[in-house]
Parts: sequence; structure tokens; C-alpha cells
Amino acid sequence: MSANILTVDDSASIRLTTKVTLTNAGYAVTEAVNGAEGLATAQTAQFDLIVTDLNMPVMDGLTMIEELRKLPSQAGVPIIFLTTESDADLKARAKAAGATGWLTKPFDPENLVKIVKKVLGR
Amino acid sequence: MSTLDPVAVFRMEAAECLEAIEAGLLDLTHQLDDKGLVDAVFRGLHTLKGSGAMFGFEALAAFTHHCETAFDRVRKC
Repeated sequence: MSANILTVDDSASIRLTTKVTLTNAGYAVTEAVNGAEGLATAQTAQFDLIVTDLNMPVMDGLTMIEELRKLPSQAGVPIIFLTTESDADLKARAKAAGATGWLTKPFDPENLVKIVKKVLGR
Repeated sequence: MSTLDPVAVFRMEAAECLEAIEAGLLDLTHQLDDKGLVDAVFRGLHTLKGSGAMFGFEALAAFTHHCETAFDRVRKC
């Protein structure tokens, strides 16, 4: 069975690139445009992985995963940050909040697939 | 050009970002302490930088990076 992935990014072009890349790799991909929508969407279906941006309007990615980790149903869902940020303090905060991985933009689509396969084990 | 082409989508996105940045900068001339406006301009610059770099617009990304850094300083004041 293909895994369900939620991609959260306020950039339409990045969402499309992520969706096309992961769909071509055989995954089912759902989109959300900011952290608040991501938080709501994550609770509408069982996602196997969330790939999220950090800097977004309405609710940023860090706040979103802090809120997600409070929910028992979302406690174990892997979350990968896909962001232009590479600051060590931000990475540490993300890890403390429950992030599983970190991929810096601009990213190589093949590398994204590689990381997703590694995290999902499929 | 198909709307499923990420570069075409980026070009439309970039136009929207530039409109938002311009509007934000104009409004800021009258409302210098409006944090929402500073955040909006920062996000526009951030998207131009990040997505621009993703689709090979290195000069755009490099230039916008300087503007984004300046606005990041302002929003953290």
C-alpha cells in the first residue's frame, strides 16, 4: 500500500514540486498552504509522513508540529522540515519539538525521495 | 505553458509576491510600526528567495536574500 504524505508549504511552486516528486515515486500526496491548514488536514486522515516548510503565514511549521505532537493520534507521525533555513538553533528547536528530519531548500528531488523512503522504510 | 509546470507556477507566484511586497512597502511608509506589514513583506521576500533558488533563478535569490536579511532584522526588533 502506498504511503499517505501531507505536504505543507505556502509556496505553490514548492508544493507542486514536492507533490509531483513524491507522486512519481508512488506516494499519495495531500497539500496544505500553511501550518493552521496543515494542523487541521493532518487530523482528517491518517498520514504516514508530513513534509513541512518552516516560515509560513497564519501558523509557522514549528508551531504546527508543537500542536500536532500534543495530539495522541499525531504523536508518532514522522515530520520532515523542508526549508531554506539552516540555522543550528532552529534545527535544535525543531528536533526538540518532535521533528524527524531536515532538508534544506533548494533541494534535489531525488534526495527528497531518498529521505522519504528512509523515514518510511518503503 | 501548463500550470503543472513548477517554473510557470513560480513565475505567477513571483508576480504575486512582488505585488504583495510593493503594497506592503507602500503601506509601511505610513505605518512604520505595523508588525503585520513587516511580516508580510518578509514572507514575500522569503518565498522569492527560496523558490527562486529552487528553480534556478540564482541572481534573484542572491539579491532577495539581502533584502530578506534586512527585514528579518526589522521584524526581530
